[in-house]
Amino acid sequence: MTTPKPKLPPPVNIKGGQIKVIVSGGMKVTSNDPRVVVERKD
Amino acid sequence: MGLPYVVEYLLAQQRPGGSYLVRQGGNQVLIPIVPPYTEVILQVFPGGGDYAELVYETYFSSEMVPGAFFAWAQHFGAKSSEGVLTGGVLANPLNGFVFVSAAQPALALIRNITPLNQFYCGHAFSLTIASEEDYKRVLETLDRLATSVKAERLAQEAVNLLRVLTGGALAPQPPIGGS
Repeated sequence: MTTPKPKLPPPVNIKGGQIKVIVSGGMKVTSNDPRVVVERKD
Repeated sequence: MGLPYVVEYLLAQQRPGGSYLVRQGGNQVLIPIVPPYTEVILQVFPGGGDYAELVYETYFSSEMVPGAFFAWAQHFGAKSSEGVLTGGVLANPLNGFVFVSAAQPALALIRNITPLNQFYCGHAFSLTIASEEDYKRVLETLDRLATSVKAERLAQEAVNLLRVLTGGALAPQPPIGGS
C-alpha cells in the first residue's frame, strides 16, 4: 500500500497574477519581473 | 538604540558652507502576499536624484514567519548574504556598509519556500549622499577619522614617555598586539 502524497493547496489567485510590492522611504525599488508591481506609499 | 559610532560621526560632519554632509534615511519594502514557491528579485537605487546611499543596517519585521523565505542580497556582482530567513536572522539586524548608487544598484531576491502565502517586510537604514563631490568628502572624512585615532594613540604614547623621563607613574598600557 502506498501512502498518498500530501496535496498542496493551489496557488492563490492574485488579481492578474500580480505581486504587489509597497515601498516607503528615500530609495527607489524596481523589478524587471512583469508580475511585480511596485507601489509607493509616501 | 544607539547608532554605530561611525554613523554618528558621519551625520555630524558639515560641508564647508555649514550644511550637513549626509542625511539619514529609512526605507521599507513590504510585500503583503508572496504566493507559495514564488520568487521576487528587486533592484534598489538611490532615489530623488541623490548620488548614493550608504546602507548601514537592514532588518526584517517580526511579523514574518521564521523559515518561510530563502533570500540573498547581491552587490557589485557578489552575494553579500544568502540563506533561509530563520528565527535568528529575523531577530537580529544585519549591519555593514553597502554602497548603493545609480550605476551600482543592490539586488535582493526573496523566495517563499513554503506552500502557503507569506508576508514579507524588510527595512533598511542608510546615509544619503547627495553628490559625487560629497561622496569624496565622505571618504576623506573617514580617512581623517582613522588619522585622528592614530594621532590620539601617538599623543598618549608621548605622554607616557614624558612620564617615564620625569619619573612619574605610567598610565595602563594596551596589551601587545593591540587587542
